[in-house]
Amino acid sequence: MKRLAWFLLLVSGCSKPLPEAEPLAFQSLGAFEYTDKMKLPGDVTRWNGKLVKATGFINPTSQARNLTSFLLVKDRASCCFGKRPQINHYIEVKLRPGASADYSNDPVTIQGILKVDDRWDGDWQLGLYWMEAAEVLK
Amino acid sequence: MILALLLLLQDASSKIAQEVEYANAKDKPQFHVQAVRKLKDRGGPAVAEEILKFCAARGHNALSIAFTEGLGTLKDDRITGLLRELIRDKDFYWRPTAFRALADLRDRASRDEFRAALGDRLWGCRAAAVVALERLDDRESVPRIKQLLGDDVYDVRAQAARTLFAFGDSSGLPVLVEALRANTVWFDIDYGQIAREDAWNFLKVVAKDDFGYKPWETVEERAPGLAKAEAWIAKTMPDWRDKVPEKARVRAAGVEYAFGFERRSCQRGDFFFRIDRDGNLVLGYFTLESATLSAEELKAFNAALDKVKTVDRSVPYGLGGCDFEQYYVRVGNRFEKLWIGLQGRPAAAEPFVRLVGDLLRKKFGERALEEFKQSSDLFRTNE
Repeated sequence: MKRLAWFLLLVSGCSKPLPEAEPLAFQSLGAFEYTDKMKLPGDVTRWNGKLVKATGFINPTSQARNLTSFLLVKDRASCCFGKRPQINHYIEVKLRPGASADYSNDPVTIQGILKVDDRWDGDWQLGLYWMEAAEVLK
Repeated sequence: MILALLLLLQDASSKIAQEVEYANAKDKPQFHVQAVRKLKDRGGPAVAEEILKFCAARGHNALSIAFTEGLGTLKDDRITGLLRELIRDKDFYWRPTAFRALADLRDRASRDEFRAALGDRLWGCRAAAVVALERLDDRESVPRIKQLLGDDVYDVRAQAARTLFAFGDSSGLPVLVEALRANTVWFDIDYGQIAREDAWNFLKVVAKDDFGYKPWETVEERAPGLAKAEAWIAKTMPDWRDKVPEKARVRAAGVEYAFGFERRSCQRGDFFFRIDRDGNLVLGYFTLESATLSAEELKAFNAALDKVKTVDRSVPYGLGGCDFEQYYVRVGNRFEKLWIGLQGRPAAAEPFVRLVGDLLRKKFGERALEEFKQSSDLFRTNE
């Protein structure tokens, strides 16, 4: 009986529809001039904790296959051909455990919970936008 | 007291070393800009010293692009000297950026090198050299800069036009007005839009009018604005169309392609060619040169390409980064891409690369072959 109850609980949990991810345009994150430790605009903080899908480009490192984390940048120029990505122009993505992605210079869409968090390690800013347990949609 | 001072100095020195390290750390791209800013704010001889130490120990190619750019903000003779070394190092990844940094420093002693770089094989160096000569107010270079209005690459032509305008010479404006109609498409990348936006951004300031349109709108939406821009230039230059050099003229788009090869190399420059549906070998992506392949040549090409098609296209090959070659293989109505990074070219693609070299020499001469070959070895698998 107890087992059946657990089974029913599990099934009802699994059948719950996943929340729809909101499409997030990079323009919404990067359309302001960032200064150190500033109060972030409401347009940006409103995304904190939301399930989003964002399309951008993988910033290349020397590893091309089996990436488990990477920076997702807003355009081809900042990914590959000379422009430096500004702190509010990329998301640091960590894929869900066991998942990996290969590098591509085509746009990719990533889905996950976005954290808007101005993280610092002493004098060094670690980043503004984070996505953990993310998955690559295409 | 002395001990405390020594400890302070030691602390500052280790902080500078860390900042130089972080400005170039391959696994911490998010730190590059911050570290450069910290070094710039700090300034002084100790920063220059640490940078030279880093270069001596790790070599030029350990420098990041952001750091190379940042060198242009450090006013120190030793840094200027380092930048001069970097522009002379033909194997340095970021030569165009080093040129721009040296331009920012307005290094008069490099004038002759800037002049020589107007003919550099990398378009980024040619464009940066034009900027540098503008900063030095080098009016003697005007005739040579005018020649660059007919360069193969839009960015160089546009920079030449802007620099001439800064020198009070409007003869480059027709090149920019023509670019408002740029329609170049490389498969799914609209290079035309990049040129349209760039030209529009400059002209709207010169004309004090945005011509009532946006360069990313559709052809139909842009049409009235383009007519307005052309009417604007015609007022002061009625024969402006005749002044657009051959290579800067926009050609009718719409050719269909059967195959594409794109090689982008930060280190050695770019190379593009396609095969169109009529079997022509078409070189370039903005300014195109075309040569017809004979039935025999086309057969040999397709046979070599068939071998390339056997390579699994669902994964990338070699090292990631800003040097890669990409093969656009037609599958039905769409193209699939085979991506190859440094040292990653599968053996099945080697005969294709050799055959392409032969065809380039035959159809376009040694210059085309040389351009193709200069970056080809980077992708060969190390055995």
